[in-house]
Amino acid sequence: MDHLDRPNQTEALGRRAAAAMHADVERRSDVGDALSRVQHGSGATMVSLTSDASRARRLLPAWIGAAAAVAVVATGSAAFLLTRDDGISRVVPADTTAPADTTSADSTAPTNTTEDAGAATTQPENLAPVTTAAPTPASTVPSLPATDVDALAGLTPPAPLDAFQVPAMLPSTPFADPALVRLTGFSTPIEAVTGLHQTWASVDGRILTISTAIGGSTQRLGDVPIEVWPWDSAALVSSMSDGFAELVLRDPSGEVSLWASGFTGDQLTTIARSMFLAEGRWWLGPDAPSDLVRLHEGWGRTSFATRMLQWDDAGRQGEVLVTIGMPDTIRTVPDFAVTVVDSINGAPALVTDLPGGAAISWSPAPDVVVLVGITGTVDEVIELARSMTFVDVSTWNAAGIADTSPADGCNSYFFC
Amino acid sequence: MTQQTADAGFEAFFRAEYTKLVAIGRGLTGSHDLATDLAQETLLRCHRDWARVSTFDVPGAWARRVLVNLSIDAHRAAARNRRVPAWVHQVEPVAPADPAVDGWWSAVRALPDRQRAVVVLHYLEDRSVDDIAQLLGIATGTVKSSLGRGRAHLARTIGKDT
Repeated sequence: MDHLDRPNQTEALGRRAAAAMHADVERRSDVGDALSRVQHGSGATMVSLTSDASRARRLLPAWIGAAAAVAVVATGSAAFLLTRDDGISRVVPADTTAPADTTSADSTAPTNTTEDAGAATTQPENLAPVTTAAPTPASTVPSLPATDVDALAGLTPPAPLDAFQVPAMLPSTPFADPALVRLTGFSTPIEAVTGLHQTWASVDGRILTISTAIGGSTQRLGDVPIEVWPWDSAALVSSMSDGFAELVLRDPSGEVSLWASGFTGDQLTTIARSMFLAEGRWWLGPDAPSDLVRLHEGWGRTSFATRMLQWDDAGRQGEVLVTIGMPDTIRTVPDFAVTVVDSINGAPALVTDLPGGAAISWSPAPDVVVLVGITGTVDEVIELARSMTFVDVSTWNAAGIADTSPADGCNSYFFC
Repeated sequence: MTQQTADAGFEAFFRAEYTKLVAIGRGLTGSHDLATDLAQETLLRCHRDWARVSTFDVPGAWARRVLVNLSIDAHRAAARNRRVPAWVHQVEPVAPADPAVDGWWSAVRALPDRQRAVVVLHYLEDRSVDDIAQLLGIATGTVKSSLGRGRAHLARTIGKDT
């Protein structure tokens, strides 16, 4: 078939498919019975989903789901708080023993994107990419089962906070016409920590995420039990799509999940059995593929914060999404193959070649994920990513026009 | 508005919209059973809040937005972690005698959430870009972008299959 005919054929087939759908639905539907069910309140089987939080989540790319916002970033023994005590973005050393200041923050959503233009420069100089280095096992991993081991000992979630601010980032080349640039900032009150997420990737695009959740686990019907020391129970999740695998390690105090694309269940089991505990986290051990690099580490919470910058210049569209505490964003667009680029200002990145565009994601600092999409090539999006720098809020505000629309849908050009 | 009038108004609304909503839900999910649930849940919400919903200029637009959001939420919960949603095993052909039509709907279901919603509303209901933008509460440019990308993907998929 000549590809030039495809648009017309697509349109014609679309109309035919719509007509067929309407006809089949008409044939199969009993309107009177459905009306009776609804009038008597018995027709619904779906859980009510349109809460405020659910609506707010729709501002984010579809694959983020119930991702989270995080105000504590930790790397090794150093920790920082991202606070919003005076309307500016800043990074300050955190006193991890002191309670978070909850008196000066406005925890209501959404965040005002037109923040104080006179705010001080907030270049977070002490932010550094997630290191790809990981601890080495202190000793040989025991191979015999032990039931009295606390498999989650040492991991302490950050205290809940109610003030946060996503760092502002811009390409180094100013936009020719700021009127074509739309700025969106959004946050919801931080609620609870859901777990620590570490994401690794191989050069050929296989991805492995280790998620540690403290405080209970959920047994799924149909999971396939396996044995992994020192966990009380372990299982391979049975309902995964082709090319994906998930293994869950359970302990009375919580669970660790290994989610992977490009790995089989057997490979995940081998990886899980050689993992070791250090610094309160489970790390990849000697049996994990040696070409995996660590892309991101961050805490998930049941809320989120993000800054989005979009531009549309006669159809040339671009988008920058900077998030804190939304670990899933590092996966760019999961429906498409990714490759690893080393590096974006010191951080490994995932690159995705999209139909009509390209996307890249990387973590310029623990808990922070940046996602860039453009209607351009992979090389162009990498070049754009490498030009991204932290800026103060006033500079960010001046880069475009604040989007104050009340729309609660996802306005992403690339990621919905 | 008396209760009797309200009941009559809702019933008329239900009869006018139900199958359209089921069709949208099925286009979004591929499952007739799930689409029926989505449509009934949507209309149940309309029923519970009919005094307010009935005052909207276009109550059907509000209902479509609720249905689309419900379907996206249901889809995301499974898709985010690449677990196979239960309805994947329940997908039924729309037109058994016309494989191209079912190929079309399979390709639609493979689109990302927002693109899928835009494509379904555009083709099933012949809605304009502006109309879809208002209905979904998203920018017109986003609808154009989503529709363009969705069509491009469908054209490629159909091309591969033929």
